[in-house]
Amino acid sequence: MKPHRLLIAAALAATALPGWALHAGEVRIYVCEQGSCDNGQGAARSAVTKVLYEGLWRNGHSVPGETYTLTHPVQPGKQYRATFAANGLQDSGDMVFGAGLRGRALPVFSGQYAHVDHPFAKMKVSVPKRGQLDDGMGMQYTGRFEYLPGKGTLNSILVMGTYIFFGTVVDTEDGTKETGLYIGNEQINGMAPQFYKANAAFLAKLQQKYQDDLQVAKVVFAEREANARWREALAVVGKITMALATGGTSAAVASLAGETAMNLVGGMMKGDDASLTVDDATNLALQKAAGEDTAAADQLRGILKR
Amino acid sequence: MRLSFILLACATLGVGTSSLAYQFPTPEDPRARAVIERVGMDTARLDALLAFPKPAAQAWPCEAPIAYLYQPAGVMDAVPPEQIPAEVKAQLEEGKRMMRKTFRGNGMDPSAALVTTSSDIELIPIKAQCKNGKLDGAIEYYIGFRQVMESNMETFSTLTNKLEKNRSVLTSTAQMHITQSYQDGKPTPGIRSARRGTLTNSSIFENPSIQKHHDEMLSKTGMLNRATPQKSVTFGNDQAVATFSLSEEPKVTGGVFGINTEWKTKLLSMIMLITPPVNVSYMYSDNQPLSVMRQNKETGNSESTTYMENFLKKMGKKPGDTPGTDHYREMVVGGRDVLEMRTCIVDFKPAKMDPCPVE
Repeated sequence: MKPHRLLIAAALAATALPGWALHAGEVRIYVCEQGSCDNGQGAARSAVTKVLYEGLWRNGHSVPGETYTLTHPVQPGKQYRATFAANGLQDSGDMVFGAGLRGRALPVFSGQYAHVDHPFAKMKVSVPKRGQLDDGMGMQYTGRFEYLPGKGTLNSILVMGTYIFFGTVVDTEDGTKETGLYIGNEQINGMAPQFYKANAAFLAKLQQKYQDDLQVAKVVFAEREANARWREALAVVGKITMALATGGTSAAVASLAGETAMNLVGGMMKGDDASLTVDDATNLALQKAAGEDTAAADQLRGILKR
Repeated sequence: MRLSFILLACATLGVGTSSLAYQFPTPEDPRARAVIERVGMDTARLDALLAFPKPAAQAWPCEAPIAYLYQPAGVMDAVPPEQIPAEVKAQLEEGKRMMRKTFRGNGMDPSAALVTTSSDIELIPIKAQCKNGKLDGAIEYYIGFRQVMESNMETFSTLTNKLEKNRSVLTSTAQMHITQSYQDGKPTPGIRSARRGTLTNSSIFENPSIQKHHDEMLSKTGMLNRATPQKSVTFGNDQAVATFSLSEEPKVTGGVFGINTEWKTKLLSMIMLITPPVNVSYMYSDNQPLSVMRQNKETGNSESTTYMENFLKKMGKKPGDTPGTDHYREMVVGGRDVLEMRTCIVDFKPAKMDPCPVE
């Protein structure tokens, strides 16, 4: 299947946010502020999170195993470290949540990461798994993190999800400490989770919502795929129509072309060829229409290849 | 038409001599309904209570406990610390701690909390008597003041990559008429207060272009530095507190000849039932329910249910269609399409708990 337009858009946006493949060469998202961000040492700033990534770049991508220095303008004196895997996803160090900041507080996670499939964005994302999230305002969450991909609006390029946390929460201002289960809001990746104390009943609700969202997304994605297939099929029909309109085809080929077009449309309508690509479905429709007339079939194949 | 005829007609119809009738709520909870009936609240009574005169200055018959007398007006910042009784000081400290915790619990910088400065305070007794040199019995007094509430916020600008310092300033002037019971120089449950004054809201931005844009927008709608009238009446005892507030709300409309702002007076009613350990508060905008809150006074945990206009329906959407709207519930209240939103607060922070541990 051809890459989906949404997938491309999501991938472009994703490169700017923590958790996603780091691609400093993506000039629409990153601004190279120092050195070379293509091949060599350089510093690139995300236009969305404003995090500055400083380190070694190869073909605009992060280099697996290399350590990158991360800084953010709201805390200019502080430096953070991160490494990225071969797929460009963060696999260790600090994750700086620079999106949606309201003031001087800069939330940072340090620890281990999980690379999870995001069924709604149709991509892999890197998310905190085990470690400590410091919200920059005196709350420290130390323990196990789980990420539940979110549906978002499905029409947006923004990738969303909900964090669940189980562990110890220390309020460094109050000097209080407690252990428990916390849930965040569904929000854009790149923003730090704002955790709320939760109970099992709410987890059940969240799980139900996730399952419901998967069903909604399945329908939406299926509709989009169907639309894309129809666009391709109609392009084939359009090609046939154009060839007939410009003349130069025999009556046998013209008749075969019409029959093929209708076989293709009919097959798609009934869903007979749902598992085939549009190219394969067109070939099948042509074979059915041509029967023994291989010469006309070859001529029509030639027209379709133009 | 002759002017005298118009004036006569106006007088006959009551135009200009009294305000339009406010829409008081009729709570479903009979206990809340009883509170409104008990205070005998209606348009005429509310207007009459707010029309108190400023009394002539006179001396207190015995020592005036400023901390207690200032407390209903919310001007405690003006009380010298050494005059604040220990129990009031503890209450204020706890309030500040909770405020910081609430701010942090909501992901907000606690240093952005409002700092209050009260000035020009005039405290005049109207009716006061003493026993053993201390206020005792029903005390009636007037208090006038000016108050500035300032919030300093640092906002990260994604355009300049810098933290910008912005300020929000609420300036109010108020005159209050307070009647409260005292025993041995200390207030006892049972208060009635009427307050009238103005509130001016202004924002000061570090970024001059944002300031210009903000000021231009508010100028167009007539809201820039507007002193908006604020009026309220409160009745309280050890069983219930009822507050009826009148405030002007802008309704901005655009047309061929520019932007038009119409100010409408709204009545906001709050009835709190003191039913330990859980207090219940009902809020209404005119006669429409706005929210219900249950709060445990011992733990501080609370659950509030808020009703707002169903903006999703207007957009042809359902709760959950757009992020952050999953927890809304569509319903019809008093013939209005509303969205119901529940908020559970545990340890002064929002919590995702069902049921919310209030009891």
